[in-house]
Amino acid sequence: MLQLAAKDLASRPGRSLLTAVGIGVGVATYLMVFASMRTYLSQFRVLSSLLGTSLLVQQEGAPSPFSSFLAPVVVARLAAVPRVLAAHPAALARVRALGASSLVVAGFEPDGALARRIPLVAGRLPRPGAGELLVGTAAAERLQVRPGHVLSLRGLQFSVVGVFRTDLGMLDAGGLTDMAGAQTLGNLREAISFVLLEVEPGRESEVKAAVAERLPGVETLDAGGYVGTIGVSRITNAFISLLGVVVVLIVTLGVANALQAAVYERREELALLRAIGWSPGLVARLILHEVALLAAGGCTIGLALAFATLQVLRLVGPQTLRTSGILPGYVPPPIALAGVLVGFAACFLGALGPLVRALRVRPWEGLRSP
Amino acid sequence: MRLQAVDVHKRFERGLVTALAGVSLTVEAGERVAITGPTGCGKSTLLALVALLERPDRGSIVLDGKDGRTIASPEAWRAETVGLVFQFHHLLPHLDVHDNVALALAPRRAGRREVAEVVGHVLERVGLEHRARTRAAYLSGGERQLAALARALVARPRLILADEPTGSVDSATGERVLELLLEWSTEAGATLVMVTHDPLLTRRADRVVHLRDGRLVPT
Repeated sequence: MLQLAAKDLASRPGRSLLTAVGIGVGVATYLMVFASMRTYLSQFRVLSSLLGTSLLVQQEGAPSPFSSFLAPVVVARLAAVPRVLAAHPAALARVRALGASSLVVAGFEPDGALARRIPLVAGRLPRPGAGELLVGTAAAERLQVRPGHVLSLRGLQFSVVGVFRTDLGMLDAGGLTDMAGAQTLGNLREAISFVLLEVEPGRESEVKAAVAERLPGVETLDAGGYVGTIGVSRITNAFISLLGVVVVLIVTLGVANALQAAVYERREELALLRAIGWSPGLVARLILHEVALLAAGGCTIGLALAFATLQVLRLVGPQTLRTSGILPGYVPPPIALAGVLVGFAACFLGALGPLVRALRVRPWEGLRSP
Repeated sequence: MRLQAVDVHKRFERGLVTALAGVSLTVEAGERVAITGPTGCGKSTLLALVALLERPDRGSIVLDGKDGRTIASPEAWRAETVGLVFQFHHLLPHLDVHDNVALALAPRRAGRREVAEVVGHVLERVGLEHRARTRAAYLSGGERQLAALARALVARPRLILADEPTGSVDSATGERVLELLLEWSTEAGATLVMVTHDPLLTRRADRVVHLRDGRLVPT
């Protein structure tokens, strides 16, 4: 049956190829979008583990880390919560540097525990209040700066004193300075963006409850799952899911259209098969085998296309994209598997209408004219 | 197979065109009957009803004593029992001769080796064994009809229904087609019903019936 289906498809090479390419483009879009999303989100997860914290506190309902504002007094109150070992404030700012795309600058306490975890590859940590800046390796390369250089950000002069490398594209494309510097750059005044909490192992739930009771207006999130719960990721996830649905819809409609035309053209063939004794089930099997082959071809094209496009974008894509850490080097296997399953599902969904039409072909009517 | 058409009526085009208006006909098992008549008199429609490709509006088709309407799966019945030959071969042009013939065996879910053997045998019989791997699109008109005949006969049907089987081929091929039909019906004891305008076929039939305006008329 598979052989027969392959021959049927090969008898319409142009349409079969175009249909498979259409499926492939859809699957590739799906794969790239979801792989990029996953890579983007994974950076936040890695960040929290990198900083060695277990809980994160931010303004309640803030849709993004950049729109969370907390009063500095919160840090001391959080530090006083039982089972909390340390509270590390952080401030975020997004600025333009040397006309290049935006640079995310995070403020932290250079003398705090977190500073010791920053993986420096050159130079040293900034001194508080000295207008000093660490840059990630990607930012250093993009801005052509190294320790000893001076960088002008929003009219303020920052001395680059070190370079760090986390292997997280988004972080390495940014910079780190002291709290005051980031607060000035982000127009935060005295405010901070979020607080990272180190708590006694296994006491996270207890601390969460205590914070909720003592500090209204803030929310405490698991640092590891931070990105999954913050608004920006919720919005992004919703958007990506919508995009996924649109892609599936496009593939489904493309397949439906191609098969509908094919069924119409093959009325005589379908009528003949029924006339010589093929049951509706057998005809359906033939068409579904053709759909499966189209889906397999489309998914193969999609996987290759996604991989090739990602490689090309990483090499010659817009700089913002290359340094954002969004572009993965490959499509992770779970995403690839999901993409293939979605591709097949869309194809079979698209085949339903044409299949019903094919089964409704009356043998005698289909054979009456040559 | 013995077949009967009992007061069969059939209309098309939402009742505007009367194809058959009360046809009753009995064909005994093993009999070879030719149905003749002018174009549009209902010959092919009668064949389609006997093959259970269509249902009569009124009346019934009885096959070996069983009402056609009670046959649960007309497709399965055709696959097991009927060999259909059309005026236009209806071969699938992208498939080779072997695969076209093998299509008739697909409902039986036979193994590949068995299919190759049976198809090889029937192709040898119709003289197309050397064209087995030639695509139908590249066959001559006569070869196409012979391939279609092979497809009709490959499942060893007990009822052969042929609609103008020589209508689109030259006289030499027409004679060959007729000889093959008669040989097979004799060997297998199959009933043969042919719709035709061809005097060659009517001469060789056991009986000739005439249709006009959807009714049987005396010869």
